[in-house]
Amino acid sequence: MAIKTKMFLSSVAQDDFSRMRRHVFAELEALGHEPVMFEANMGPWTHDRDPIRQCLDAVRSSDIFLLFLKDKAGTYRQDAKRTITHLEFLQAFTSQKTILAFVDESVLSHYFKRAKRLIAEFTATYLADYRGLPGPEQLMEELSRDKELPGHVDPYVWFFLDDLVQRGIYCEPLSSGVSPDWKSYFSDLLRRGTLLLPLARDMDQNARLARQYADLTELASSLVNTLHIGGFRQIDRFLSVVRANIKSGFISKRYGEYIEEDVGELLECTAVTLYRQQDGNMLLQGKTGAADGEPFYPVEDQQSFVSRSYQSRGSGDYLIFYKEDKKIFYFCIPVKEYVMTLHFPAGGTWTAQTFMLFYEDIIHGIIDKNPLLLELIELILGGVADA
Amino acid sequence: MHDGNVYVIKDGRVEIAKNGRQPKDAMLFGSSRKTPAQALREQAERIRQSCSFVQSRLVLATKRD
Repeated sequence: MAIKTKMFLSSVAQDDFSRMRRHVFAELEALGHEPVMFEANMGPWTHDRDPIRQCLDAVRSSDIFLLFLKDKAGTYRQDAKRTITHLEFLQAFTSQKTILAFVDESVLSHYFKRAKRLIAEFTATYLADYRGLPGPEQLMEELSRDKELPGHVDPYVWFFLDDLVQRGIYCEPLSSGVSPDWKSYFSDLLRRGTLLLPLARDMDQNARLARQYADLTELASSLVNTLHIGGFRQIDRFLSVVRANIKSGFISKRYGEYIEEDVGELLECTAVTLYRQQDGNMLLQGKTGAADGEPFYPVEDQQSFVSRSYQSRGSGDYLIFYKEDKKIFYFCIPVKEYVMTLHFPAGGTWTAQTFMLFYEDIIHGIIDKNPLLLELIELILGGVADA
Repeated sequence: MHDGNVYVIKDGRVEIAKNGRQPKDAMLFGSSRKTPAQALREQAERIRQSCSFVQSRLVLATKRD
């Protein structure tokens, strides 16, 4: 027996939406689906049941989330700093439901013509001033001051719409009095679903392989940790392979879940060096690329980033050095008696000031782009140092 | 070592860099506690969660009553 598609209808309890909601409910039911709507079939409402929780549970158990948005924001929950409709949307999004959003065409047009830019500008200014994202209340205050946005639209609606757009939800313009062409929408959904459904076995196989990869990376780390490694056979070749495989690129700073800002670029790694401590000196063991370091540095040399990194060994910290006159970042990996350094030229307009603001993001960016390679380097250097 | 500060090496001395107005030839540095092992663990956890989710959806998408 076929299982019906459960569709949750979400919108503000707005007078001119009531008729449309009833109409949509009836239409979907007539098409053979199972619509779910607060005022129609979400009971029974017992005194011990939180209605918001009941709505969110209904969203979670649905297959499709249909959102209708016009000029009213609905009930704002101070504790969640979101409206109830927005919370329903967030539940659908985090549960990875198929979301179809329909927004009043006039509201959508004003959003794209003005509100979107105002929000972006205010967010950028706020970020620069406070290094964090503005909350909905600050944004609403700012938007309510704007004279060109239509006054009958609640400012929260712009914030909500912006959240939809930032999360990559396509918003379909909704004309007043015209119902969406459900048959076309569901025919398109059917087409998309039927493209994927025959691949179910491949997707299952890929998921199994991905899980094996995750297990293997953790297993390899545990096992290599238990070995003594004899030493380097071709140290320059080892460093060349590291240099060829290390990834660079844009460094971004994340603010919350969906907002990130590119703060600068690290160009392709131009050199890798490896030094080892012996008798109070850091001795060059090998190098590849355009490194112009000395053959050795005294361990106490405060000017040398190699010596400085060696002094911090055992702390578990990775260090990043920057010289503005050379425009190069030196990413140092101190492991026991070794210090490996990766040289990344600075792309764009890095300054001492931006380095100070974002040095941790640079380290995290390099690590996040190369977790497996860096972990392997650390394990190998640790193993060689113990030999 | 990691204390949230950026340091500057000038004339053989190391001091906390108080602002971005430093000589061009000064060497600035900072550190972080994040390790590749930690990044790998996070990545592995994300992969496992995603696999479980995809597989649970596949079960729902292919089952028949």
